[in-house]
Order: sequence, then structure tokens, then C-alpha cells
Amino acid sequence: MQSNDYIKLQVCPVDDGTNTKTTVGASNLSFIIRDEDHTLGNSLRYVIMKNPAVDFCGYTIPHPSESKINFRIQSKTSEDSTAVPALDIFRQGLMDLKQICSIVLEKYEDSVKTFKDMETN
Amino acid sequence: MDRTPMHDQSMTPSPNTLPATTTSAHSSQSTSKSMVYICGECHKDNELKSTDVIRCNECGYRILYKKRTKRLIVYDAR
Amino acid sequence: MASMNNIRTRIKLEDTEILHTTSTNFPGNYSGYDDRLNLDEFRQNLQVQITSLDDTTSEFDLIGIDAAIANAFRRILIAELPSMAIEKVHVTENSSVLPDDVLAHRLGLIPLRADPTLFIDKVAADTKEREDDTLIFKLKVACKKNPKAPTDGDDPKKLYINSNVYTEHMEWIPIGNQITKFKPEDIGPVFPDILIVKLRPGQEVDLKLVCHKGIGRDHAKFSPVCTGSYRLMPEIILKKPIYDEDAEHLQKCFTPGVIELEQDNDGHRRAVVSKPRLDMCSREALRYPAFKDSVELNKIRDHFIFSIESVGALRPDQLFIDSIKLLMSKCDRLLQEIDGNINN
Repeated sequence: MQSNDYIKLQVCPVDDGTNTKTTVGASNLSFIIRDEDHTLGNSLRYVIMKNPAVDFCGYTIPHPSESKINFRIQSKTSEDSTAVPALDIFRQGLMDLKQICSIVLEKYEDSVKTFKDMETN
Repeated sequence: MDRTPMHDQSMTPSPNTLPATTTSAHSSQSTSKSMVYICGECHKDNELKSTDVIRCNECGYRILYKKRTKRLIVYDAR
Repeated sequence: MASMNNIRTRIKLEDTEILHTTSTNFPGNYSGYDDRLNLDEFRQNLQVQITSLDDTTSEFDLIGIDAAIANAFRRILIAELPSMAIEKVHVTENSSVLPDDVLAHRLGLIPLRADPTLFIDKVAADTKEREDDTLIFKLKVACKKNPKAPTDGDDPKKLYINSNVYTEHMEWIPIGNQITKFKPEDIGPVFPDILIVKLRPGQEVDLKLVCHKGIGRDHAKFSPVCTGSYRLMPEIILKKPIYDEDAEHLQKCFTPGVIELEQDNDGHRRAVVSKPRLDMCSREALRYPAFKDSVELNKIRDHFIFSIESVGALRPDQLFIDSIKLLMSKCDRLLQEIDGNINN
């Protein structure tokens, strides 16, 4: 449906106080994900909220006629005032969600196989 | 309203044009042009020229319908 | 007062409200619970139990997963898995009583037997009919009087020939390599007996049906499932024993089969919960003061009873597998783009 050079993800840069806009190390980030909805938004939100380094994670569909979501991650600042970069949390969330899917897939395929074997016997 | 130039001529004759000339001009134009209409009563096909009386040849019913266009029409199946 | 564990694992049905509906098992919410994502634990706790599976329908239990993930699978099943459907209708003749646009819309909803994985998405600007993105059917039917019709009957099917146009009248026109790529039984409407339009003598339809690949988010006709849905497993707890007439009354408050009566040693009939799975979760029992304190109605938060009814092109188990894979590919796509962004 989409070609490969289509940009789906846009990271909104934050001003780090030194007048340079950054995304890579920032602890709080907003993302715009195009052509996605609650399907990815809510499942990814759930997985990211499971991460103890996250202070806040949420998403919104700013307008129903635009197919995009705004996704926000704020990471916890620890006592030595360091925080995990939000981009790392986002990446970790995507990898975790993928892992969850592969576990479900594996278990489902096993169950289907046992069910079909049982039926043929 | 959608009007062809031919209609414009026949529908709005100028005051100094005699009705007879209009008719003759018309008939010469439409001898080649006859259309098939469907009777609203007996559903028979009627081939009529523009000078002919609007009347079914079969049953005399005076309401006739145009046939569907032969042109291909494309619809979205939505 | 509900215990902490109950709040975390159960959705409680009260007489006028439903409590603890959202998941709250996130790190930092409860002391004494480690709520961070643990994939090994997830793998251990996850259960899939298939209750039925055939070519078109399937019911299975997915236990140990959050609604956010289960709902993603359900949404993908309905709106994002592709299938083939009639998209354009070229009308040469339609003298039936159905207007062209209504007929075209009806045709669009006909489920087609064609494996969507063997086709690619149509490029919108490309109007050419290509062998790898388009299927063509012809539907040309004219109705006539039946010369051998019995004189006494009034059944249109006997009086006229082709008085009903069914999906079996659709004729597949292979383009390009489709004639060798597919067998005639691979391509066609899923059911031969779907009524498309009724005709009377003299009426005729002559149509070319052009089918493309699409997804349910664009139009419901592309959805590969009739219904893809889940419900949560009901849980009914009888906190006090209920006997005889009360037990019979309680039995009537639930879907048949949920509550059974058991003969106990004193000769009384006692109500027991037999098959909570059958319950349709009406809260009738909670309307009666006699039961209000003795019956507790819950739903198990992480026990999903999935039901998938395929339209017919793909098997339900294949559809569920595809939905999982599609969610994974969404993650992959974003991961690729993050790594692209960082390199910049």
C-alpha cells in the first residue's frame, strides 16, 4: 500500500536549552506516526507503560479525519538526575511488542497443530 | 436544461419564420435520424422520426420512453 | 471491599455499574507487585486453547494477555487484512429494476474465493487491468419466457428462464498468465447461490466486474471476516449456598446451562455453577435482594474467548496468524525508520 520511501515516523525535536534541537538523547519526546490508529497506538502504549523507566506514555488521534497518531513518552529521572532517552524506550517498546507477538504466534501455531492432529486421529 | 442546437431551432422559431419552413427544414434534417422509443403501456419498441406523432404504433399510447444509452458506464462498487 | 488481586485480575459486574474495567498492572502502581514486562513469564502464562476450528469458523481462548494486545489482533482481523472484492462495475446493459449504482454496490459485497496473497495492491493511477492485481468477471444474463412453462402455475422460476440472477452466473475471464496460474475452482464467488437481482422477460444485465485487492479500513467489503470478536470469560461466584425454590429462581436468571441443581445429602437441591462460559452476562440475578449478597459476577480480565468467522477466502487460523504477523511488521517498519533517523 505504501512505498518504502514513505516516512511513517516523525520525531518532534526538543530544545535542550543550548539552542540546538535534539531527538537522540532527549528524555521526553513526542512522535507522529502516520497511517496508524488505536491498533498500534494502544498496544504500544501498553507495552511501553510496562517499562519501569517510563514516567508517562500516552497517545492521541488528534483528528479522526487524519490518519495519524501523536505518541508521547516521558522517562523517569532517577536520583542522579539521569534519564533513559525516550527514543531508546520507544525502540525497546517496539521490540518488546514484536517479541510478545512472536510468542503468541508460536503458541497459537502449536495449538492449531495439536488440534488438527487430534481431529485427524 | 440540456439543449442541442437542433432543439434550439425548433423550439424557439423567430417571429418572421413561417411554421411551414420550420417543419420542412426539420424533416429534411431528420429523415436519416429516427429513434427507437419504448411504449409506456405495451413495452413495444417504436421507431419514430422527429416529425412523427408521439404515439405507439401498436397500442396508440401517448407516453413513450427513451432507450438506455448504448455507452458503457463505470460505477464504483461502494 | 475488593482485594488488590481482585481489582487487578477481575472486572466486577454490579447491579448498576461495572468496576475495575481498565488494566492497572503497570510498574509503580501497586507495592508488592513487579509489573514490569517479563517475556519469560508471559510465555509461561500464555495459553491458547482451541475449542473449534473448521474452514470458516473458529473459537479459541487466549489466556494471559492484555486487552491492548488482544484488541490489536481483533482490529487487524477486521480492518487491515487484505482480500479481493469487486471494485468497479462496467455496465453495458441493465434493464432490471435495480438502479445501476445500487446493483454495483450489491455486487461489491459478494465474497470472492481468491487468495489475496497471490495479488498485489492496485496502483490508483494505473487504469490498465493487470494479471497480478485484477480479476475480471462477466455477468451477462437475460430473462425470457419459458415456452415449456406449465399453464396453471404462478411461480416465476417456472414461468421464466433466468428470473433470478445468482452468483453462479458470474463467469471468470482470466487475463494474462491467470489461466495457467489458477484453476477454475480457485477463483469465483464463495457461494454459488447468492441472489444478485431478479429479472422479468425482456430485462437483461450485461456487466463486467473488475476486482481489486483492498483492506477493510477502506471499505467493509474487503474485510476477510464476517465477525472477528472476543468476549471475556465470565466468572460466577455463589458466596452462600442457595437451595430449592431460590436455586430454581437463580437458574432462570442466567443463560440455560450456566447454573445446575445438585441433590445434596439432606434431600435439598443446591445451585452450583456448571458452565460459566455459556453465560451472556446479564445482571438479572443482581436485581433481587435475595441474591444481591450471595452472588458475585465477574469477568476474567486476561481470558479472551475469540471468535473468528471467515468470509471464505482464507481459513480462520490463517487469518489469525496473518493478523499477528501484520502487527509484527508494523513494529519492524517503525524500528527501521528509527534507525534511519539516528544515522541522519
